Amino acid sequence: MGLPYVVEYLLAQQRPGGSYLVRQGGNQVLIPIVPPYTEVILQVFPGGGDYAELVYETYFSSEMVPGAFFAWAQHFGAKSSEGVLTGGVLANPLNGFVFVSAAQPALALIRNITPLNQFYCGHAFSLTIASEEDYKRVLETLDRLATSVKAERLAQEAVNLLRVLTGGALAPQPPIGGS
Amino acid sequence: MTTPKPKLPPPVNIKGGQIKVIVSGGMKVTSNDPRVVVERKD
Repeated sequence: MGLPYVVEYLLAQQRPGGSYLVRQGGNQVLIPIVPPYTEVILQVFPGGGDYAELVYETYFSSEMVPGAFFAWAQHFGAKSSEGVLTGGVLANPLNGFVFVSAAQPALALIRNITPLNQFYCGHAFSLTIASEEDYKRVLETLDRLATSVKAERLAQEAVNLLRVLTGGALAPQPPIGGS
Repeated sequence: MTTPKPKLPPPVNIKGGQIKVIVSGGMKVTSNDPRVVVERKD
C-alpha cells in the first residue's frame, strides 16, 4: 500500500542539520475481552516525550465481529467520527489528519453492544513530531507544498502563453473551475 | 400466553472486574476508568 503523497512528502523533509523532520510511527490498542454492554474510554497522548503525533490513518482488525461495537473518537472537544463498527467501517481504513499533543489528547470510546464477550483491536499510523519547533517547521513545509504547486501551475501557464505568442501548439488545458 | 423473554448470558467474571488493554507502539494510552488496566507490550 502506498502512503498518501503528503505523508511521503513530510517523511522526506529534513531539518537544517540534516536529520529527518518527522518519523513514522504505528500504534496498536488491543482489548482481548470486552464484556457485554461494557464501554471503555481511552485517552491517547504522544509517548516518549515527543511534542505531537499527527495521526493520518486508523483501521480495525479483520478479526473483529461486524456490528459488535459502537464507537466514537473525539478531538478538540468535537466528535470526528461516531457510529457502529459495521462491516464497511471495519473493511476500510479511516484517513485524515488528527493532531494529538500532550495538551490535546484524543479520546476514543468503544462500547460492546452485544450480549457476548468481544475482541477489539485498533491500529493507528502517525507522524511523530519531536518538538514544538519541529511542529512549526512542519506547518511551514506544508505551506511551501501549496506554494510550489501554485508556482508549477503559474510556470505552466507562462509556457502556454509563450507558445501562443510564438504560434506553437497549446498544451491541454485543465477544465474551467479546476476540477 | 406470553412469550418468555430470552435469557441473556451472565457477564463473564473477569478477574477483579478488570478490562485489560494491551498497547504497542509510540503513543501513550491511558484511561480514567479504574476497571481498565493498560499494559504495554513493547
